[in-house]
Amino acid sequence: MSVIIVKDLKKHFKSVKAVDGISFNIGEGQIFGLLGPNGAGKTTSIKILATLLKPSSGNVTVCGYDVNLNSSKVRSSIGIVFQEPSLDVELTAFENLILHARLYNVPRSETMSRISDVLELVDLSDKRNIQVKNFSGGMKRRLEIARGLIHHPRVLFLDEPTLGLDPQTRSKIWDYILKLKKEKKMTILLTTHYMEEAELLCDMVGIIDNGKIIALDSVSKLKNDLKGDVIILDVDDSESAVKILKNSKNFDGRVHLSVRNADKKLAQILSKLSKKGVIIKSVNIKKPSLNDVFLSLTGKQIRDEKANDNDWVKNRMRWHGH
Amino acid sequence: MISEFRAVYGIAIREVKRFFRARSRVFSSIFMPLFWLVIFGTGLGASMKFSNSTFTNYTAFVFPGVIALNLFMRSIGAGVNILVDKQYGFMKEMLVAPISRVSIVVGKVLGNSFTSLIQGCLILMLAILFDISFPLINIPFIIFTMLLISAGFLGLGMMIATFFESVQGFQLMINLFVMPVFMLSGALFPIDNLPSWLSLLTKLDPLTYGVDLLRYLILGVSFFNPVLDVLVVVGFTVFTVIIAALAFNRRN
Ligand SMILES: Nc1ncnc2c1ncn2[C@@H]1O[C@H](COP(=O)(O)OP(=O)(O)OP(=O)(O)O)[C@@H](O)[C@H]1O
Ligand SMILES: [Mg+2]
Repeated sequence: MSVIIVKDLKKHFKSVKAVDGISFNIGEGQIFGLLGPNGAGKTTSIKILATLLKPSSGNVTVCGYDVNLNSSKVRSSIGIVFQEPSLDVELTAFENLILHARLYNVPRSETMSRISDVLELVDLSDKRNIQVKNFSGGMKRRLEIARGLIHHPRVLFLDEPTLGLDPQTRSKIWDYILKLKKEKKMTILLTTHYMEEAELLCDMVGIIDNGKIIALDSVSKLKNDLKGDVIILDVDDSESAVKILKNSKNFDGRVHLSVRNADKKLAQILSKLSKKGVIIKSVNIKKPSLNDVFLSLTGKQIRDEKANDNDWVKNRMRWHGH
Repeated sequence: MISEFRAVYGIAIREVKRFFRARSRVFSSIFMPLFWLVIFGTGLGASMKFSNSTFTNYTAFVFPGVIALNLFMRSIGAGVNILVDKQYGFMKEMLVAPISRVSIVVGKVLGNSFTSLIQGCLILMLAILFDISFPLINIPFIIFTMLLISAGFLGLGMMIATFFESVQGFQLMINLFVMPVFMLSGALFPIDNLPSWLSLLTKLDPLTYGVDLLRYLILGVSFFNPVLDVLVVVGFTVFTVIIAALAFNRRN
């Protein structure tokens, strides 16, 4: 059963077509990612799903309720973390959470235990009575996720949940998101322009550009559709290996072979080589990234991706002590 | 419906907490009125030949006016926190909650009326300092009047705020408002012997009736029939809060 159904949704701001006819469904318990560059229409789509903006045309149903006809029902069944901060920084973490419980009419008898639970989930129990203005960016983000969960929503919207956060905090937030899926079977719609985020978290990805969804599938399917896998072989005699394997090339003594589905073909390729007496020293498979998918679909890179990837790797290495 | 009350309560509590957390605001809200009472009462009173037969003591005359002035200034200015909430993003948290827009406005009006009321009560206690006495039985009515004046101008301030995107724009507009509304309200001078054009203007000023009602309750004299004062003050409050709620609803 689909928790979210979007049919031919359009949103125009005067002459700007922010969202230009997108359709997708999200099944119960799925993590769906809207992936796209700046200005693609991600936030606009989320705002429409959360009833903060009225669609220009199209149909949107959340948990069985139409966003136009039943906005109050939609609002009580969703939790949302906005792209921009939306906490009251003068209040403490606890005060932000209890206010949320009051706004959503969480049963009084459960309010306190739920607040403790969500604080626990995002590791902020010890920061309970600290004013939010003293929180770091990552702590604020975690508190916002916690807040979005207090009223036990069926669906969680996360608009760029890790934007502008350092790598450690990002991977922590990814852990929370995966935990929500695993432990609470939460249906989650998230937007991002980080490829690795979509690859890691999402069951399904909609790639959105200029208000249009240009690809919609699981991450692995999207990548498999690309004839992008490269098998790199280090062998004793690359000259003869290139002759044995069709479509292969010799780069500096290494054999590069482009195939559609490297995992499945590898065994066959290796046995072919060893039958002819070629000794294999090492094998490397280079998978296409979502970035390659995006590149092949749009002919352009998702902005900033490169710089971020590098920072990410650098920091990860530092973090793991390499 | 009950859920709306709970939301209103939550929002009102938040406003109160925010007010008391801004130390400078608490500080100035106590010392500004004292300052005004001394300036207006002692300074202005001494240099002005006060020839009204009903009042001999100018400080006593301006005392209810100073209370009304404080409630008015703070309340109309508090409309700004709609814009501050927008600017800092918290407004989205309230707008996406399953509550009506009216509850947001009412919660803010109640919370800020409460803080204004506390300020009003602090000034009221200064009466002892200036030797002004009134029947204690009037205190509940005074409190009620102070609440109405606060809520009325909070409604007006919020209504004005819905037409602005920026804090600066709103404050410019409010500054245009404050002086004439205050000067014409009869807080500083008696309004019974004015030229007819000025008299008309004072009668169009809603604050005039609030000042008059407070003066009646504190000093026992008024220019209008107190019943008229009550009607105007109640009507003004209901009107502005409803208009503010409608305007806010339309804009969001
Ligand atoms: N209120 C608005 N009025 C006019 N244009 C708008 C409005 N909101 C968004 N837009 C435009 O709609 C387009 C899509 O914006 P949107 O915020 O949905 O993009 P996004 O995918 O969330 O981008 P980002 O990654 O930068 O957050 C942009 O061109 C933006 O300028
Ligand atoms: Mg966005």
